[in-house]
Amino acid sequence: MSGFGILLHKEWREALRTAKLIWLPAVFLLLGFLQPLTAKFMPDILASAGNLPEGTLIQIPVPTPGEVLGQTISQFGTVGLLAVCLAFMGTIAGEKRNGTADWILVKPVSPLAYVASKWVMLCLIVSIAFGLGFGGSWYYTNLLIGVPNSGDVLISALLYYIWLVFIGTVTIMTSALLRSPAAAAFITFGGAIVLQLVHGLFDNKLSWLPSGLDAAAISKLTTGSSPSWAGSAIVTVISIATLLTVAAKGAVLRKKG
Amino acid sequence: MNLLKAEGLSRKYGKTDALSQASFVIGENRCIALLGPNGAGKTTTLSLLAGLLDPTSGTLVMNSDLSSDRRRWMGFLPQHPAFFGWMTGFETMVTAGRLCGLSSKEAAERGKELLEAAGLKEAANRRVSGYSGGMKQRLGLAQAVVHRPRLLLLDEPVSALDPIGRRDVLTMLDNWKREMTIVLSTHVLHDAEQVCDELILMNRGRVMMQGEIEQLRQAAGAPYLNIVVEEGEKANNWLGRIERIQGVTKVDGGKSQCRVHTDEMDSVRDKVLRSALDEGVKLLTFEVSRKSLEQWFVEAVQA
Repeated sequence: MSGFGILLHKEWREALRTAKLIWLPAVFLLLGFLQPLTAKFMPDILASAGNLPEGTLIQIPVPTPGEVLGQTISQFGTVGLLAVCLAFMGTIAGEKRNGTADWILVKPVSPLAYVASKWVMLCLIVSIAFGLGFGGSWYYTNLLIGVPNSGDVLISALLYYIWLVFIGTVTIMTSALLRSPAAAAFITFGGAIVLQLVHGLFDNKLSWLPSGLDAAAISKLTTGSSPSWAGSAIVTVISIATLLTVAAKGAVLRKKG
Repeated sequence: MNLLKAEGLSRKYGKTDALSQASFVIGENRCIALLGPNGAGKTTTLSLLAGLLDPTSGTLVMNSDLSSDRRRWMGFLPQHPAFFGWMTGFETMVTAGRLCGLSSKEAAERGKELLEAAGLKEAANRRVSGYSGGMKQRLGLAQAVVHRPRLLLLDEPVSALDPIGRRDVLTMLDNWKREMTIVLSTHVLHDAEQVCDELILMNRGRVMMQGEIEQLRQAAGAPYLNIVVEEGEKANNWLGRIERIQGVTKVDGGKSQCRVHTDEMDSVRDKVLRSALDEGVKLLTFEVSRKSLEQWFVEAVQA
């Protein structure tokens, strides 16, 4: 793992200077704020839209605090997930393409250290982005809607964080294997959607899929109870380790000299 | 002592042979040019040496006294050096140094010293994305030697540079070749002649020959006399009679000039000159020439 510390320092400075450390948290923060606000003010928004016939009665039940946070996570599941894919799609493919990966790998650096530095940075950036976004949502839900069960919120946050890190790890791996950053983002995002769909369709048999973490996080918030997620968690952790190993092999692979 | 030895090194891309059965030796403290036209396999050879590619077949034997991870004693500069545009020149040097195992203090000192040697002192704290092509090339050279490598591999280090940048780089190489072995690839013979002691001639993925430049120059062809005279009847008659001088094997010539081939240059040179003086021929040029390496290179590559 020689060179890991220096590479991590390099990733950190890069995230700062290329503003990745600003825009990714900004996306999550925006999504997080919007959900409780729209939940609270939806009736007013509809009423002031003005194109409803006179005398229309609008009755929208105010959602429970847990439901609002569950909806926030659903938002993260689409736009947030896409943002993570986009933020990390070029992390290896881009460096391979412009030659900076060679610049690093001709030095006595182990490929695993190279990939690991990117992964640790991914965990860090995602924790900042998701922490701020979900924390913001929690805060506004407290203010506007009501106080959810803190234990449930923390457990779902942890589960969902692992799911996000899993998707980020897949992005790192596809980025190591493919020449095009866009292809890496597309395949990862598509894969995440398929995983979620498959899990939704075959819940009984495939509850161990990593997307089970996502489903468990949402149901914990909305209903207060969740199906067992231990299987998913174990599968996800093992997958992350495997993906990183594959990524390290892929990082040194090249078609042309 | 040899740093490394390549034996039957081959590399295929799909079905094309980028390099086939290349064998050569890299000695110590010398400058070796990999010379050949575009597509000769120079970049492939350097990538194999640097460990960026694995050979399809063949072996690289390293000197057993050196670390088994050859990246520790090797520096590499690719044809189009790539840097992180958001780093400054100084940060690039420090990052390179630390990745090569220097302590942070050592890396900073070495970085400063090399940037100054590369003429980048003023630009040290500017971002690399703002550097010109020549500055990037010099930065590339500087970071490649940050860990004082034993072997420095350079892929076309001067090809993309203007005459001034070219001279700067060649001067830097000339200073360094006392401390390390430099292997550089080029398709310009003139650049190779300026700094290198040894040539490895490549063409179409094969090593055609390896040797000292001076030896190759000698072997390129036997010397001949090149004579140009002031025009006149007397001179033309004299030219016609050179062939009869003892020791001359062949005379190619046209009007008022000729090339005299011989196996005994020393005696023939005197005889021809004396006869010219005796007959009052007005000489314009009288020199011993050799087929230039350039001609030899073109012939070798086209053969």
